[in-house]
Amino acid sequence: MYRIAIISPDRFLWALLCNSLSLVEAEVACFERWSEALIEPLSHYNLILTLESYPFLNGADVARRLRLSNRRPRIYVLSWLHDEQNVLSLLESGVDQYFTLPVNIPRLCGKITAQINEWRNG
Amino acid sequence: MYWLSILILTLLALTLLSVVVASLRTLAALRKGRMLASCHGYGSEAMSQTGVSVVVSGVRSEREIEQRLSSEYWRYEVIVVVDSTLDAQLLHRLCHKYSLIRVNFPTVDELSIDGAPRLYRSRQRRYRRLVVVDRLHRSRADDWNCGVVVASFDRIVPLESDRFLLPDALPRWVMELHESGECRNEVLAAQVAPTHFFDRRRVAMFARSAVIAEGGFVGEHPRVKMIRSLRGRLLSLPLAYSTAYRHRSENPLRRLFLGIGLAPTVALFVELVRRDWEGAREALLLIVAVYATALASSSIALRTRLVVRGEQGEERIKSLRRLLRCSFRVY
Amino acid sequence: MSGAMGEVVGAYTLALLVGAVLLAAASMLHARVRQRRIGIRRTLERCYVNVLNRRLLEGGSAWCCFPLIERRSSRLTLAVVVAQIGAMTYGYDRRVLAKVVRRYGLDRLLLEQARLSGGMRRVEWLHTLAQIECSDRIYQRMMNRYGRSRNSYIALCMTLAALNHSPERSIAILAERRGRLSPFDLAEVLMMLKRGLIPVAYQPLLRAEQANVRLLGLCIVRYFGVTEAEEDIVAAIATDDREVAESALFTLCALRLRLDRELVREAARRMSEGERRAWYRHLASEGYSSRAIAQIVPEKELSLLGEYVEQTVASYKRALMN
Repeated sequence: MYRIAIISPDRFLWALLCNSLSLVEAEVACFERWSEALIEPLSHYNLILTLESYPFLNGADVARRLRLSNRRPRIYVLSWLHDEQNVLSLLESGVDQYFTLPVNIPRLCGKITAQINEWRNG
Repeated sequence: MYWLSILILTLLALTLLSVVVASLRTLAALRKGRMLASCHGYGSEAMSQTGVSVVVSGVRSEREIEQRLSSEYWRYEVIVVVDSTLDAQLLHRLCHKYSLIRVNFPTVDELSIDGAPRLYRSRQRRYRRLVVVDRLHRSRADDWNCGVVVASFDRIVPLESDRFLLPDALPRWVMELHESGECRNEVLAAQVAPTHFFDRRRVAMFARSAVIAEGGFVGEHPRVKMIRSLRGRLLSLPLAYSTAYRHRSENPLRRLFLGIGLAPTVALFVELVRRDWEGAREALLLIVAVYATALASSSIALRTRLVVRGEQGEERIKSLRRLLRCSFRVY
Repeated sequence: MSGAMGEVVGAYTLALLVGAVLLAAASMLHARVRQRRIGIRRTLERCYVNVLNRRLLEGGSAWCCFPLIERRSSRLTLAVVVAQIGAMTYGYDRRVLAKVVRRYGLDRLLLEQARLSGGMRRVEWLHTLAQIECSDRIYQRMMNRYGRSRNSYIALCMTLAALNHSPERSIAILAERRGRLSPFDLAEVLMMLKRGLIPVAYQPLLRAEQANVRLLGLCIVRYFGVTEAEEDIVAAIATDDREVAESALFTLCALRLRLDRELVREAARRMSEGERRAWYRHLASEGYSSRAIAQIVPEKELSLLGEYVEQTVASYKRALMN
């Protein structure tokens, strides 16, 4: 089963994403903070959707740690920020996709579905 | 005894009133914060062009730097002042972890800086917010002045190593700055959690130009001195927290009530020596009045603190129970 | 102490003791009630998000059923959910959300709730109301009641509501606004624009007479990185309005456009020395070279500030000799 982790302090976005992803065939786990999510190994997940980008930029270097593990999950960041430097920094630090909020939910779900299909086909 | 009673009652009433006012102001500031947090433009790059330089003196570990680089505000930098003669390994580790390289320290005429500080910036874009200055530590004020010289932005937040900004602090500070008007925006001071009313521990955001015009930070309590000499205002909300342990004897409310309670205690002792039982009864009544005011003030202050900390339901009830058990012991 | 004073002290003490005990008891009761209320609200929120989002994703004409909707507090929760979904997403069928608002009278309910609340709570409700599609009648009532408010947050809510209600009049609405738009106001308007509610036509905004409209235009250009608007930005630098001129200068740097223009040099001359230094520092941090910055340093200050610019730029770049 494809496993997705949602890390968002915003409970609306949490509920919205959870509900939208219930239509795709995946197991979804939700965390409010990165500190909660990091308790168990994140490499168990295939996709991480996060609203908080600072763990990639503050030296904790979550992306590098995930890359070192055997199964590297894909990382999607959703943010209200649109700053070019911020986006480039995140992409350089190992984030796979950057979505600016407000987000088109059907398009996001479409991307994730395509990702799942790709994963299934090996 | 008559005048003593009037004096003490007036003092108690004034203290209680100021606690109520401070509490209401804090709750109003908190409500405003909640309202702002529900607006999606708040904190975004469209909201403000104001940049903030956070200057930290006396950092001892990488973990402290990580925490300070964890703000989601878009336009800020963290200037860390370290002393490699005290811990050479720390600078080495920082250079390795953040890919730091040495750049020229600007020898500008704005503030006089002793020694030969060394400036480091990261080669990697994602760590562009980190600036490290290595210099021989003389005083906190000198470290902060060094940070002011290399700061890219026009607003400075000087911090000690045991103080950390709360997650929402920078956008809130900038928001309040826009509402301050030009005549009161040289300094915006805020409280430090865990906060006590009348606490003189503050954090503040200064205008860089105002700090330079004052000749930089000086003295043993550089921030307090600078806050006094600049025009600005105080926000009734904690925007930073301190990890330093605080003994309850440092609680300013406790000190205040102990001071007020001293006069009727002495009066009680005098009346007992004189064997004036009526006078002793009245002095005892005054002491009970002081304790009752202390209990009421602490219960208001604690309730506000719990709301500020966002404690809900069971946690808040537990804390209130603890308050009722401890109040008599504390005051 | 006289007997009367003793009585006063006694009454004061008694009143305070009773007050403290009552406050503690009320706080505990309040905490319990609040805990229960928050629990119910969160569950309902989640339930309403699920129902509404599923309906929006799947389409069709089937009506959605919201549990416990007959309660006033539940309808308020639904109003917040509708506003939040509208604010966080785009591309959904907005008619579905409008239909939910109409069916349950959420606009009327929010206006009523704003009337009953005070301070920031009122602003919160009005902000929610400004994000949903309300009927003409409610819009008029809201404007009549709060349209002339001097509270800057309420004024912002009214502007947002007006933009949401008649997006085709967006330029006129901003031009007619009495007070100056603060940076926060601009950010909120921009968020509305990002949701596709108002058109992104930057040229008429940049060429408008009114400062509010020009500020929004500059904000849009900066935000979306529209380098084609270079000439309009430079023209904005020459305006008498200080705020617009400053915003235009900042936009020019943010887009990393050329600085060697007479209008930019003129703007630099108008600044005080402290402001100029701050601006040079900003340019250095944006990556401009010392030569590019030196071109806009006034000639008579070149000997004094030229060194400052050199030093500042050098502090961002690796010195090869070190």
